[in-house]
Amino acid sequence: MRSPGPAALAALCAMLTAGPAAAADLVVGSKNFTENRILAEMMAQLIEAHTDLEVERRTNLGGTMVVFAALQSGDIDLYPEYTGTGWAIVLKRQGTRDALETYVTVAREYQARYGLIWLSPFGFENSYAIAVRDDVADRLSLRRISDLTPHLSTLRLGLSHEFLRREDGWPGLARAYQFPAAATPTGMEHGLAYEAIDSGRIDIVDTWTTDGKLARFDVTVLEDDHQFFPPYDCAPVIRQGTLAAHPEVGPLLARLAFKIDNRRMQRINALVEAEGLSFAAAAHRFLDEAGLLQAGAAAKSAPTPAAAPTPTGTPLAQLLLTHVWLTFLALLLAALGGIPLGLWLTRHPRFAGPVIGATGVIQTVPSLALLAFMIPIPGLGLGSRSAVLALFLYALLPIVRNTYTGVTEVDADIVDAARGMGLTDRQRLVLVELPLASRTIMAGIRTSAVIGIGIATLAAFIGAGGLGDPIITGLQLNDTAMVLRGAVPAALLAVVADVALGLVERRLAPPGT
Amino acid sequence: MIELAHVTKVYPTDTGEVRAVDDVSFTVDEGETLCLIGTSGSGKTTAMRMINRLEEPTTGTVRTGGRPVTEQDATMLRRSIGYVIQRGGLFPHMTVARNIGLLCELEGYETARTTSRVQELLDLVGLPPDTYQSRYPRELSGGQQQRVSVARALALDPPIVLMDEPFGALDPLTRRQLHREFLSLQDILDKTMVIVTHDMDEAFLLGDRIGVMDAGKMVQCGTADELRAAPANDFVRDLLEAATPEAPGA
Ligand SMILES: Nc1ncnc2c1ncn2[C@@H]1O[C@H](COP(=O)(O)OP(=O)(O)OP(=O)(O)O)[C@@H](O)[C@H]1O
Ligand SMILES: [Mg+2]
Repeated sequence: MRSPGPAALAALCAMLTAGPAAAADLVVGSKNFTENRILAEMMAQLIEAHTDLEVERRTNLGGTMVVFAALQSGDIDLYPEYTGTGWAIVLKRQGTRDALETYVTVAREYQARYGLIWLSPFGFENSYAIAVRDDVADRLSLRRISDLTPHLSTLRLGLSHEFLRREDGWPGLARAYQFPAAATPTGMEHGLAYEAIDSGRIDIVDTWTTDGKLARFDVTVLEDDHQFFPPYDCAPVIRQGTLAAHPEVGPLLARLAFKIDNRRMQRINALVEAEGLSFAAAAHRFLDEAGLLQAGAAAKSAPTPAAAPTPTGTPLAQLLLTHVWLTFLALLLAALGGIPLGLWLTRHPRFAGPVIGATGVIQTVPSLALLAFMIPIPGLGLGSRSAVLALFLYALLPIVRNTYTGVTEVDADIVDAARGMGLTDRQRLVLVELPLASRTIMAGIRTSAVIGIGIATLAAFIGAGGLGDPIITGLQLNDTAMVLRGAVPAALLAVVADVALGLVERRLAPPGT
Repeated sequence: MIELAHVTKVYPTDTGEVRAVDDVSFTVDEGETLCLIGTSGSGKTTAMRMINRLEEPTTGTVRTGGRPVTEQDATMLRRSIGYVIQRGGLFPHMTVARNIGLLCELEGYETARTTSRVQELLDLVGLPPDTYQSRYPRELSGGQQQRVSVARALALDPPIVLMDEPFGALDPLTRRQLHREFLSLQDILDKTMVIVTHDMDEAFLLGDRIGVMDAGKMVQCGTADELRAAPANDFVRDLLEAATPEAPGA
């Protein structure tokens, strides 16, 4: 599936996660996502049910290279892998072949090079897919990916960052199907994409064929009629030595062969993701229903997605520019709105508590949730408008509060003198109160700026871009270097903004105070 | 000319009403100086702040120049009344010159006229302009700040000046010197003034007449001689006894 990483990091992780040699007869491993963990549980439970072997679980390992390294070193004996991943990430093959050829190739190469055996596939394929909202599919008669071509300029695409970036994702897909250049997908977090497609903000999402959410949302998976997506059939990969030491294990695992098709895997995944079952309980339910805990069986099916992370990457300067622009725009709006609001409150103090309280409540809303709230709002949707509005709301509290307190904290004698000598309310505000409150107000703006630069990294979740782009993709791809490519400039930006606005603050401070 | 006729100011508080000023009437004639004296909380500041409409009377009428203040535009009224508050209330972010000249600026004086007015006023209060005009308030001593406050109150040459304990926070020596300067100023300026004070000596020295307040009431209002000749009650008698027999510097 999805999650390789640079080899050095992987080796380090393997060392950290491997630990001392297990006392158990057999160690089942898995990657760190639902489906893989459930499959590992299935294999473990099956072996436990039919043998006396003591099985240890080492699931939730961080990424392909980590699990693979653990398998090679013998820290684990077997784990579920996907043919496309073995092909691209481990064997580093370019291009794609059909499912059978891919399977045969990885099986042969793994055995020859590493002494590792690919057992029979489970029967499902976890590969990339394109899903369309049902009503759109019906209206436009969309059944296959190639049906999209004439409609791409009007359809709204919300694609995950990883998919947008990977060669085996959007860029390659657009080429393979010769999509018109007018198609401009928006990058967004996969979890939010389903909400967006459900609320009608977008029409098309990328997904994978075993995604539990496919069963829950009204979407149709389009047939990959040009067979662009690489095959990702899933199968157990096991050490040759383990098979020799425990000859009963091979035939036992063969009972899982072709027992799980895509739909079934979707439902099993949904047991955990939507219904809250544990991995073990979901695995057990399947084994039980399939009658595998008593006797033996066999069937047939397909694979799963994972692929070479080939992040082409938007130039850093552009990410930085987007980031600065989002933050700056939100800050500007917050200052334009927040300072007058704060000043108005000084003249209508009975509203001060409720209004400042309300801006405070906004701050307690988790950033991602606030971003998600914006998507269904008419005129906002995915992209920078929602991001700017969310950032604006976050920036409001420090600015409104500091404006209000800055003005109300001006020495009462000074205000009294200003009134007594006959300054109008406006003159008092402009000539006396604002200058004396300017440092406090500026401190509020500065706080908002620093907070905003941090939160703006989350804007990438809803397709607004910025430095969050490489951070999020890097996290998904388990690529620390890519995470740092976003995180380091964001941190530097915050420091620079803090220092620069600090200087402004000092300059703005009224003389003589 | 200032007139208060049966003026009462009631503040509602959590614990009930406070009658800060209770049926007070007095008149200050053109060019005359009235000193208000009384214990702390007796209503002196409140009475004074009703003259420039920083407070509105609950009942009764305040007049300046024969017109009720409530019928006058508050801003115009205040610009015709110089006001010196107890701790000066100088604007800390403005230079001495700007503090003094601000109202001239707002009244649309040309820069040169404002500048010469500021220098004139600084000379008047005994601060050499070249030394002091570009300083900020925190760069001045308490006495110097007080002088700047007085100068600021005089900027538009208002016919009426209100001063709330203008020399209250100063040491006796500085205070005495300011008293002397103030007396000569009074001669030059010929303003209608109300000065609030705690100090009977100061009241005798600066006031043409003295108004004694206690618990919101005007107990007695008259010249020093009238007070000495017939104190209205024990409170006035006590105040007179606390004063030095013959006010110094008079
Ligand atoms: N805004 C207000 N709200 C409630 N009560 C007030 C208010 N202002 C003044 N008071 C009360 O009115 C009374 C008179 O106050 P005022 O300031 O006029 O006294 P004062 O004679 O100037 O006293 P001091 O010599 O201490 O300055 C006091 O009891 C005071 O607590
Ligand atoms: Mg007072």
